[in-house]
Amino acid sequence: MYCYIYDTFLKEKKFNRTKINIENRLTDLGLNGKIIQLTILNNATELLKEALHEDIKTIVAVGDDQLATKIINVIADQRNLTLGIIPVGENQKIGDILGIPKGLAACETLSSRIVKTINLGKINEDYFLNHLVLPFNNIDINFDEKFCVKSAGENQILEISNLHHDFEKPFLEAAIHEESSKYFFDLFSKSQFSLFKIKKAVISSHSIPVTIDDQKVIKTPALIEVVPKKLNVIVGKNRKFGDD
Amino acid sequence: MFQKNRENNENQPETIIGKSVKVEGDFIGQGDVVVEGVVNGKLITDKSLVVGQEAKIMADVKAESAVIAGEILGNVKVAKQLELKSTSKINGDIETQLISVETGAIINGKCCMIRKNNSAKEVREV
Repeated sequence: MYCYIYDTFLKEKKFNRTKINIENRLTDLGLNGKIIQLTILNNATELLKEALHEDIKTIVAVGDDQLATKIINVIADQRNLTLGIIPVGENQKIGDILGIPKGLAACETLSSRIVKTINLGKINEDYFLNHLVLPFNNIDINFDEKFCVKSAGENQILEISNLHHDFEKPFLEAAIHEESSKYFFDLFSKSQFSLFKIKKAVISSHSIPVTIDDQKVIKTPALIEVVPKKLNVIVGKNRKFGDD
Repeated sequence: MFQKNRENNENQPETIIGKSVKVEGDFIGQGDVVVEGVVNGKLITDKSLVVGQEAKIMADVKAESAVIAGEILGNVKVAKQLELKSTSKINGDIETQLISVETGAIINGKCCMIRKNNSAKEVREV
């Protein structure tokens, strides 16, 4: 059975037609199920936990990356659950990487049901699908319990990515670069850039802010590690990793 | 950026230690390594190692092949080919199968050539 979690912003009138079209198409495809509309008054985590008591096998995030990562943190530790996404709105990097088209076309992807088991990153008790970002000045960080990396420059940031070019292998990519440069576009182009493949990182410094998947912020100390094959997710044919 | 760039990324180094970073400890990699910064400890890879002109490695180094343009304070063991650029400075012993030394390179230590079948070592002190 499917459970569709509608993002808060889908309550706006301008999305009414989009919701109707999606729901009609899902019905045509035989994929109709329970719908939960999030509002500013209800809590996604609590509603999801209630829904999990029913016979639901697929949770579908209808919204943007922020909703997808919220749902991931609730269902990652649940067995036999699959995550689907219908990207609506801005901030659709996760949908893009998973090969899921925006809006109505995503229903066809759900219907084709290509399921991949993907790695997740974990920082303390939080899972992340995409990346973590933190300032890399005067901090102590140990990689893989083997070596420490220290900053010898200024205005640098450390970005630890789960979604990287070799996504199917269980490692995280730790990149250190100047704050002004964009990791993905300046890759390998500047000598200030550093790159490590790691499975674990320990930050022992205190009170350094870490931004998780561009939304939640926590403070160090932190244990960061890759969790292999953690989440089942429905992907599209145009996904940016793996072969069919 | 991902699958479309995979062909390009296959030739990219697995590890880059940039100018603005200092690594302390035992670094053991399984892909190509580029060092532009400072490494203090041990550096081992089963692929190629490139040490930039401004890099400083205070460690024993082991690689399949290496191109050195910076400074190494430690022993260097390269299974196949070692290339020392004119700006390189090695304060330690070298062990390799093939060596190429540009004019200006500095070696303060022994240089030992390994034969292909490893059945015997021919020691030539430099």
